[in-house]
Formats: sequence, structure tokens, C-alpha cells
Amino acid sequence: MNNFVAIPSRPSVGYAALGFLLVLLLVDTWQAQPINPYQAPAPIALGSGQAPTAAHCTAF
Amino acid sequence: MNSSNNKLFARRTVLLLLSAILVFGTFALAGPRSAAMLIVGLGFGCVLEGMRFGFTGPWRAIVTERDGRGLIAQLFAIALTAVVAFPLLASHPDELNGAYAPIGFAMVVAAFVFGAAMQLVMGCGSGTLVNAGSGNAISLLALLGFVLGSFLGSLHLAWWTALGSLPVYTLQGLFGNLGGLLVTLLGLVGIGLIVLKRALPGMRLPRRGLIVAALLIALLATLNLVIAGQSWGVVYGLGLWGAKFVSAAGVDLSTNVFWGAPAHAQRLQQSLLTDVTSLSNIGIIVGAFIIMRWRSSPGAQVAALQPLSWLIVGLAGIVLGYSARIAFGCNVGAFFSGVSTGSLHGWAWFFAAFAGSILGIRLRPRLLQTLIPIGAAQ
Repeated sequence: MNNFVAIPSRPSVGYAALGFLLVLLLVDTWQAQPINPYQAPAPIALGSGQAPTAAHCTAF
Repeated sequence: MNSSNNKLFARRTVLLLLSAILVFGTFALAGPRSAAMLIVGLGFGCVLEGMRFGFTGPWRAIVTERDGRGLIAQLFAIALTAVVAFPLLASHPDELNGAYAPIGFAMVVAAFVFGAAMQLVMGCGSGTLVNAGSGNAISLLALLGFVLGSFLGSLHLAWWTALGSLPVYTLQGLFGNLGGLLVTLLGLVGIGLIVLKRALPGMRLPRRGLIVAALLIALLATLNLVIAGQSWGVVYGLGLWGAKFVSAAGVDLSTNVFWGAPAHAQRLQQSLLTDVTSLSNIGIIVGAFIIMRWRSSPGAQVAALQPLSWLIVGLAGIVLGYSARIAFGCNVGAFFSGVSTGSLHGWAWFFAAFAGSILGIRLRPRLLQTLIPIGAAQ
């Protein structure tokens, strides 16, 4: 079995996935503009009177 | 209580605390909508992993094992979502957006390729997130490829779309709001009948747990629409993650057609904690992780692979992300959300991706014989 790569356990890989998210959020924090809490959208879009500004997979 | 139970109780307490800290932290930093979207994402992750609701596995099961239960559950969830989404979209057109995209030559081909690739890595958009969070090593690598692929796809999306696309058609636009909903439901029933005809006795109707899962998925998808103002999606967030990494490396994306557009440039500049798709994606991964650690046993890891097969999985992940971007979504953004909100492209996506999925099922034993382990699909 020398030509096989041993795989870490499920918890280890799960922690690695969380680590990836942590790195992503750190990079984002370093790069993105600070969040302005006074410009936060209404809690829910329905009934807010605001047009949705988020982007979707169908955006082009 | 013995020592083992004490450890399990302590671990579950930590998981609940971690969830609460994540949600309240997001609330404090980015406001109530972001916190709500994270909760919705956590819900998706918990239901998809905890109740074994998926897309790739059921598509394979109806073809190879003539087991239609998972696919019927998908259709049921989409129908339930449509019943609520159509009236909401009709009554609040200025606040809510459906998952509408044009049918095009490249879109159809990309959906076909996506269907084939998802059977190779045994995970679609949501499935890759769920499986990575629950500790599946193959899916974690595929996720990294997916992020890269969907970013690369975004760079070329305008070129591919320019090869030939129809205008954006919705069933509401073609048949009216009620007519569009009826056509959608009839379409889902029609596919359901085909599935029932294909499935073997005893493998036609979902067990109660899967029906409950479908109900919860429909509820969460509706909450996604109501809170975010747009349907459930996965791929945009992953492409944005790739763009974030590339931008952080010093690459200027402002000259690209896609990332230079005001809406996408704004998303690139703003925090991921304000991007609803990223928040639900993060929630799905964390939710699946929580369920995996909640269990007394996390389950077996996937089988060991030959070194070359890791490269194949990574490449398949890139293809998965790239094709999902060109096809205007994956099983979630294009199929689930497209069909449930009346987009004609959702139907085109489904037929093309299912045909590709059949090809992927046939190719897998030839291309990846003994490399891809059984039981990795979500």
C-alpha cells in the first residue's frame, strides 16, 4: 500500500475545512472595507421596501 | 453517566456554544440580516448532513439502482418551495428576486459537464460544502477546486454567454403568475411520474425522515428568499471567495467584465459577512461539521486514494466550479431555485445536467476505477 496516501480522520478534515473558512475570513477582513453598521440592511428583505442588492449564481 | 457520555455531552455543549458565538458575533459585526442568513445556512448544513438529503446520490440511485426515493424528495421540496415562492415574488417584485438566467448554448453544455463532473467527485455544489464540513477528504479538495473553478468561470462568463443566449424567460412571464406555478407543478409531477415508473417497488416513495427533510429544506429555502431577497444559491459565493484570494494576492480584477461590473465590484470590496450567499455557504459547512461532531461516532473516512487520483479529484472540482459558473448555477442555484421561482433556465439546466450525470455515472468506473470510494456522495 505504499502508493496510497493515508487520509486524516473525519474530525481532522472537518477542522481543516473550518481552518479554510478562518483563513478566508482573515483574508477578507484584511482586504475588505470595514463594515458600516449604520448601512446594514433591514433584518429581512420581505417588507423592507428595499430592492435586493446581493448577487446570485444567476448573475451575469 | 459514564466517561464516554460525559465527553459526548461536553463536546455537544461546546458545539452549541460555538454556534451561538458565530451567530451573535455575526450579528454584532454585520447586523441582523447577516446573522439570520448564517442561521439559515446552519440549518441547511444540519438538515443536509443530519437527514441525508442530497442531490448527487439520488440522481445516481435512480439510474443505477432504480431507487427513486431521493429524487422524489427533491421534487417534493422544489414543489413546496414554488407554492410559496411564486405568490411572494408576484406580490413583492421590488423586494424579492427569483433565480432567473438566460438559456444559452454554453449554459446547456456547461450544465451537462457539471452533471458529469458531479458524479465523478460524488458531490454537487451543496454536497461538496456538506461533505467537506463533515470531514470527507475528497470533498475538501474538491471544494478548493470548486472555488478556483467558479472564479475562473466568472472571468470567462461574458465570452461564453456571448456565444448565443436567449432572453431571460420565466414561466410567470409566459403563462402568468398562477399559470406559471401550475406549469411548474405539472412539470415536477410529470418528472415524478417518470421517476415512479422507473423505480423498483419499495423504492418509489421516500421514507418519513426524507419527507421531513424535504419539508425543512423547502422551509429554509423560503426563509432564504424572504430574508435575503433572493433565492438559495451556492456558486456565486464560491467564485467570490476565489476572487477575494486573488485580489488579496495583488491582482487587479477591475478590468474584468464580470468583476468590473458595479454590483460584483461592490461585493468584492465589501466584507463576506455582508454577502448572503457566502454566509449561507459558511453556515452549510459549519452545520455539517456540527452534525458530524455531534454524533457519538464521526463515521469512517473515505477510502485511501492513489496519489494521482487526488489530482483527478482536484481537477474535477475545478471543472465542477467552472461549469457551474457558466451554467448560471448548480443543483441549488439553477435547479432547485431556478425551477422553484419559475426560471425556464432551471428546467434546461435540469435536463442537461441529468444527461451529463448519466454520462458521469458511466464514465466513473472507467476513469476512476478503484480510485473513488463508495459512500462519499451527498
